Amino acid sequence: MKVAIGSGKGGTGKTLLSTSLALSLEYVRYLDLDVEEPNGHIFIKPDIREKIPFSIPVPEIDFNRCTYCGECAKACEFGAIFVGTNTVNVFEKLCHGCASCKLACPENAISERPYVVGEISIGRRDKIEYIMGYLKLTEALSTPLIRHIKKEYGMVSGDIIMDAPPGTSCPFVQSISDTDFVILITEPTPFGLSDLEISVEIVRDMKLKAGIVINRADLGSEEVKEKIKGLGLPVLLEIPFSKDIAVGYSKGIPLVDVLPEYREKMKKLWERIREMV
Amino acid sequence: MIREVAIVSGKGGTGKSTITLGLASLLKDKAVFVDADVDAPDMYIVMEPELLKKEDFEGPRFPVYIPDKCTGCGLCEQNCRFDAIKIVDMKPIFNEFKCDACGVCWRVCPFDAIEVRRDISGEIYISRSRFGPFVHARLFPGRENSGKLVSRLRVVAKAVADDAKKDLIILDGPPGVGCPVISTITGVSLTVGIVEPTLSGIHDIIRVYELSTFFNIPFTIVINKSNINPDMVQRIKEFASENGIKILGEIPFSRRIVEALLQRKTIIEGDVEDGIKEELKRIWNGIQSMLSLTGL
Repeated sequence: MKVAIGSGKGGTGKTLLSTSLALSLEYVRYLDLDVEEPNGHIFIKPDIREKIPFSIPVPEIDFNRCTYCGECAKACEFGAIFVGTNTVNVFEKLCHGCASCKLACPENAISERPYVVGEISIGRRDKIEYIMGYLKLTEALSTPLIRHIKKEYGMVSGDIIMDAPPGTSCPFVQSISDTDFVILITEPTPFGLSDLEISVEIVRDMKLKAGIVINRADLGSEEVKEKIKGLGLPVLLEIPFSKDIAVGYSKGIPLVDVLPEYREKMKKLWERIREMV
Repeated sequence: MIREVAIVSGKGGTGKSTITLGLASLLKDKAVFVDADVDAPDMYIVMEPELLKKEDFEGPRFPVYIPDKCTGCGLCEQNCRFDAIKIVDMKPIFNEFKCDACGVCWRVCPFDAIEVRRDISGEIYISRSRFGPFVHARLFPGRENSGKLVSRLRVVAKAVADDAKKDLIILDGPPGVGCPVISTITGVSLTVGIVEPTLSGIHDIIRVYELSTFFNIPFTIVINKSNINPDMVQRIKEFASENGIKILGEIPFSRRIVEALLQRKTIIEGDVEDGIKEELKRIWNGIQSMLSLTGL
């Protein structure tokens, strides 16, 4: 079963929940898809055995063949190629690696070379197989890395937990696509609700099964909580605010180690999701 | 000259909007405020804006299939690198959520069976609030190009600042270090990193600091929820002093701040513990001195 944990608003507890789920289950694969700011390793503390660079194919111009006709630039939807009277500039940071330019070139002057945009770390802790994507700093596009990790490491059978990035745009969509279930974790404040509403709309559009976890459940308003419950998705768990959880979190201690009774709650949550799937 | 200040954090939920809203109510009408977290915008909840003007944001071009013309040849499927097209029973099944809008499919189709539609992927709003001009946006759910929308938002904000004769723009940025964050910080005069004293918060603020430094933008820090873990506060201070980063101030975690926000009030408007409002003023003074602004 593949389950993604997303939120819309940042800092509502995606990593808190996904690492505690992983630590409570037997034989699970944990994918940290928040590749801009991955934090799962802080709590899971895996032994990393391998780091693999990740690259996308970007165009390389053969200037012996290029006639500066500009067809490649016209074919690029992302503005990643500029053609001047006798120059061609490739902006790798804007390139999606789609090969549109290569297909458009009438002179066969474009080949592709790998351009490193990130790194994948593979490790293990006890029964958790840990995989983390790390976007190289100053690179803009996280979706190719997310897409690659899911394709390469997210297709096996067995249980997979995916810690998704915040927001509701393409990286989030990419992270939750092709999963069996999406847990949306929120806080009962107007901010949490506003972003949750957007994420709920997306999971509906994508026809994905989903449920809600309310974090810091007593640190908001009852009115907002009622609105969350009225969104039409099941509320699977409420986690109250606790200074112990917050302090534990600050030191990298997972929820299930601060409050061991949560191990059972995590297992039950997983079983409930399995029934719903 | 108009100056821009970007509020960022790397990690989400560290208090970017809380601090930005506090600054808005402190600066009342002296600056233009911008919510640049376009795919999860929250400032509007407290700003309670009155909409003055709206503009569509044009996103990427997307393919539209014309079933009558399609022969099911599969060239589009073979050339799509994003697994967005599957030919099933000689017909293309298009998955818009996987599409990167690169245009390869409509360029390779020999039968003109794919048309191109420009997508409206968001809206930009120019509003008035009780704290002065407010520029915000919404990226429609799941859409692309949040970075481009942020760039456009900044252009609009500059025009608004010009009209209103304000020489300061404060941008509430998105979390992360990718495309929309890069769009938020490039070319600003100062980035203010809001960090919480947690291992995750520290890990993430270092990334934003390095990003800001890469773009040659001065960087400064505000510690939020400072009472959660004094040891981690100490670590942040060590990191700051090793790298010559000024810490502008510390705001504690307080249930009364959460209460204020629930009532749609800023730190300045709410009934919060003694000293917090003064600390925010100190933070503003720090920003001012870093910008060497006068007369504000």
